[in-house]
Amino acid sequence: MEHQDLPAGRALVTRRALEVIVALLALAFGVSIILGALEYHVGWGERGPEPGYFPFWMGMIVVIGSIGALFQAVLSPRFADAPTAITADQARRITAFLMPMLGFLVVALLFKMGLYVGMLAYMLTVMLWQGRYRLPATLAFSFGTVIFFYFVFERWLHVPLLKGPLEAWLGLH
Amino acid sequence: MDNFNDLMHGFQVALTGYHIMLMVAGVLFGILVGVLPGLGAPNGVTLLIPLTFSMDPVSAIILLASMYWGALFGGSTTSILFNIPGEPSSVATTFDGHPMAKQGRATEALSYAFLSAAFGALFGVVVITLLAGPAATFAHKFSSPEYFAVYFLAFCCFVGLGGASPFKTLVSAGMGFSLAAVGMDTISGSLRLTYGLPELVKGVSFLVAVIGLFGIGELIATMEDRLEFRGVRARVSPRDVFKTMAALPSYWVALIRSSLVGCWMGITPGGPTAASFMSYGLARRFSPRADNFGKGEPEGVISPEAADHSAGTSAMLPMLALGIPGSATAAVMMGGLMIWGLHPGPMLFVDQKSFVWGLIASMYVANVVAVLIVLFTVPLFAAILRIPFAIIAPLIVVVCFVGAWTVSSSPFDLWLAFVFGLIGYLFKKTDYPIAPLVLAMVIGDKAEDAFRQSMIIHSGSLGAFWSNWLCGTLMTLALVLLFWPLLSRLVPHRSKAIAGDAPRARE
Repeated sequence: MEHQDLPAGRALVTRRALEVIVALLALAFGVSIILGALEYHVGWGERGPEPGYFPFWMGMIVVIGSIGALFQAVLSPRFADAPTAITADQARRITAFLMPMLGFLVVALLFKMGLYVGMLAYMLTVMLWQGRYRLPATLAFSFGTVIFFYFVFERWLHVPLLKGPLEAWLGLH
Repeated sequence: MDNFNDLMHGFQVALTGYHIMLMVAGVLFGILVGVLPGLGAPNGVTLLIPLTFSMDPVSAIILLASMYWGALFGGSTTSILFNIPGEPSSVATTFDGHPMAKQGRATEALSYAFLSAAFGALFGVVVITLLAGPAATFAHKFSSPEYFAVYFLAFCCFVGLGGASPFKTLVSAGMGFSLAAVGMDTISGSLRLTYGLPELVKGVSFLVAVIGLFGIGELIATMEDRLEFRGVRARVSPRDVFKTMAALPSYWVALIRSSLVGCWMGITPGGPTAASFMSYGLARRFSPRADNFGKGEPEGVISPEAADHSAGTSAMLPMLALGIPGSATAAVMMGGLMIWGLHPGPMLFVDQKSFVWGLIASMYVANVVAVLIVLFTVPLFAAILRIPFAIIAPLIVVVCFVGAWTVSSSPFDLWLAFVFGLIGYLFKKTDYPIAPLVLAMVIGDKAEDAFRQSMIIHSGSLGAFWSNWLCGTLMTLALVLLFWPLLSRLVPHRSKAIAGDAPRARE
């Protein structure tokens, strides 16, 4: 958004490379939609289009669009000297942001610990490791957040969030 | 006069203590969402929808709509004070709003922004009030082919007028329609595109997609650069507000022009973001003080703000009358309507009179409420941005995931939200438009049904779409717009004038 503020880090991905990557991902998406649609008839039945017809052509639209975008990415001079899409610094910051987030999901869903434990682990990690806050402040804030969410969702809104063995042990079901 | 009576009835619905309380709550939550980078209007509405399931539809829509107005105001606040647009549609406000704030005219800039935004919003509501009835009557003539034609036209508008690469718009819309087709087919009952995954049988919820695309995707993009909020402090004193109010009428040309641009872009699915850029571009072209633009010119604040808000409000018109949302946020709201069991479209005006007019009346009241609230709470909300991002960002992440969970209590949705977040980030980096994807996910089933029913009525002939003048005109217009990027190359001079402004303004 603000080009003048971009850090002058080493280029990791050029704009053109990123355009090509995204176009190829879109192409793969389109092809998988077409393959999925082909499980059903994709032509015209006695009473108009068969179930596979609409997804098939929507997949085709994605394929056509992504091939067009791919050609534009490779041929258009606009991307030749475009500013770097992602610098090494930015990639490091994004990874540092995404990893704890992924950890949140792994703890909450794969380890089946529930959302409350997941968010607690997540907040603790981020505040200690990235925010470099002191332990007392981190503990107070993280536990405060979890308790706040518990009261808002379970007690006030009556929307139960995913819970795990810890809540069962505490008798909070 | 019918409209007037309906509107009066609507005011009776809107002006109850409970609904005014909902408006205040909605506006406050909206400003918060608008101020925080990474949380925007579409996302805020999405997060609230699962909580409205047990509410009366009128109350629910009043809450959601008020949140939308609040978010629009919140977005402009951070644009002016911090040079950080809280919403994509308030990017254009930073060009002159922030320079004004740096010159010590923050109060003036904020007052101009809020008051012209309110003008634009009220202009949009008046347009809705006048056009809603006739538009619905007109839409009563629609049958399946016409509906499909209108849906088709909406997407061709994105391709022809959207400003993004036409190929990228196609990818985005096609992805949305494909995702909408996942799960049970409404006509044949077959399970489509599930790839053997039981989680996909219930389909991919657009709410989860919005949380990922707009919430997490936006956050990743924000985290890319080390964020420092170096803002300008502001306290809005009533005297300054009145002074600005007195000066505002002298900008009447800009106000009316911008509101018209906004209405046009809101009713056609151009959306508030395109409207604010276009309006800024037009203002710079025609203003006698064109040289002052970018250096702190009030007209450069007034124009995008009025257009942004009039587009935001008038986007509700096609949603109510035709069932086609004019912006991403309106698309999410329309999805909410469908979840509450309402059928957006002309029948709403017959079956759900007090819903429609209650909403329209609430738009008058809520916008006035929003201006008052925002004027006096600016210092409070600006202070939120002084909280370190290392605390705010994880909180927003938690809110997004909890929101994704509340949609249907499915763990799979959380993974989906994460994947959509990555897609949203990549799309943002490479200028793929996200709005067509969301719109397609919301109206996908309706568009497919309309298409298949037209085919059934007309025994499989595409001639169905040219069987009468109304449908034929819509389809032809849609095709012209679809191939507009190609056609405009043959006639290079005219379209450059406006298109040339937007990208430059974006720098």
